[in-house]
Amino acid sequence: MMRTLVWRDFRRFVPTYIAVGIMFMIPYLFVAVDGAYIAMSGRHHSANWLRDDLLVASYFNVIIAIAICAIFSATSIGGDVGDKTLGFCRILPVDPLIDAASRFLVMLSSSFLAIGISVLVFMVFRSIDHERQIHQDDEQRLVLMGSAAVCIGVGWLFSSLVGSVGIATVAGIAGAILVPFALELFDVSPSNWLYVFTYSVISIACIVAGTAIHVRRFQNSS
Amino acid sequence: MTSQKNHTSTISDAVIDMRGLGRVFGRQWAVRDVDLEIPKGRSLGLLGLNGAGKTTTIKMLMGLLRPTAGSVSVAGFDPAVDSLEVKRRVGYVPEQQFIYKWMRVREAVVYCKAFYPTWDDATCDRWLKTLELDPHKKVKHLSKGMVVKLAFVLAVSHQPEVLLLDEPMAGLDPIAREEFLDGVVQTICDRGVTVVFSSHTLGDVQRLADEIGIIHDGRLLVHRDVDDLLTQTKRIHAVLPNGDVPTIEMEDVVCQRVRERELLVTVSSYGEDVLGQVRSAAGADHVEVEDLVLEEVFKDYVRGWRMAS
Repeated sequence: MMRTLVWRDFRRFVPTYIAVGIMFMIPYLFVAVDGAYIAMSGRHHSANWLRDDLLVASYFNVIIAIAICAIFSATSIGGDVGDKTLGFCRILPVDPLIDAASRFLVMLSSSFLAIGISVLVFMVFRSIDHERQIHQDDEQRLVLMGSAAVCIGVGWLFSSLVGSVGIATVAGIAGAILVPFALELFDVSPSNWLYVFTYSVISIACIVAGTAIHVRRFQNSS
Repeated sequence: MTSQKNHTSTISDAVIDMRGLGRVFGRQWAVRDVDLEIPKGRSLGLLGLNGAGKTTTIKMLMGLLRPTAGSVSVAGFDPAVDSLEVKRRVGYVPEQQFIYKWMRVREAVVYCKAFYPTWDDATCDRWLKTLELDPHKKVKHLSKGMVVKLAFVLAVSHQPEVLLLDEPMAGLDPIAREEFLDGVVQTICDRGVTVVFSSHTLGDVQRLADEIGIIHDGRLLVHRDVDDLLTQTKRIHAVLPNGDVPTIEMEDVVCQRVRERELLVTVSSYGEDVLGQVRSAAGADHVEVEDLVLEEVFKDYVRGWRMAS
């Protein structure tokens, strides 16, 4: 049963994977446009312009990957609620918790894949750039990971709450922006244990609440 | 007017058993005090206006809505408690189909098959062929009638004990409707499945149903065998000798109204004694008895309820 549900959820995500692929290409498209402009204008440029541009593009994709986490979590439940196909799942003898687990598993693995690919590409370009010595510290990594977790959690909650992919995506991204902003406001630095704690609590609470709402809707909606 | 029951089922052979079933939405009772037993192999047609409570009743049978009051049992299980067990034993075709549009017909079949241990490939293939459903076609490329047929195939291929059909034929063209009805009739004949269905098309109801339930304002006004309902329910026309409109207080009266100088009394159990009572109460010399078609019976039950309340 679980295998069928996982197949369904991967299959449902196919249009999202295509959209994500296109989104990942956009920064590199800008690199291509920049290259074409340099070639045509003949303006002065550094010898390593391509390497620099690719590095910036790949870093930009890491940021995009975090927003993509919100899209995945928003689509996982919100897509089916929005187009009412959840009604089809509800008439089948499917345990709502297993249904939620399948959606979560596929969403999480898709998010990891998006982040993993973008980070891998970034690391490859960074390793080529010996001169620049880009330093990425643990705090920066923590902020990125925390933002991804909040994107997933808030997106998941809103996707089961409002059943709209658009609203849930915006909510997920807004959460990832607002949480570090609020922590900054209260002078909580990433080195503080409260920082990790806040991110963890918000993400887990949102996932638990979103799952509970989904299960309840699955069992008996009006 | 009281709810009338005149069928032969007993508690022990009832596949569907509702007792005092009720459901509230906000402050409004969508279904109230419904008592109903349906024995194995029988088909019940639910008739009612829009918003009468038919869909709510069927959803409670399916375990998609939790009853606010009373109890319900389907194939020996309480849908509110053993929802999965009920869903394994019930085939359900709702009014609107929400099968994934990106799926091909074959994918929809494989997807549903995974959830039913009793799924029968031979039955499924036979129905796909009979209903001319192309397994390679995507759901989004099927017409509305074809999607309903696919929903029917998915509902019957796991050999359900109970079939719940909630106005699935609404909006279908006559050919698709006919093929769908044929499918249901064949399933009833082949497997002795118990069927509950709702429809606004009384011809369909009359063709499929062994028993009729008329629901209005969430209440079950009548539950009787179709033949019994149609042979026993009669409309008596009594010409009033003067302008006085009598009130006839008899248990059997479904509805009474005056049209020009004629008193129309619809009774649920016609007999000579009933005719005599109407004649004397109306003080009429001339009375006529009219046989009613299902549509007129339905209308008079609803009219009678409206007048009484």
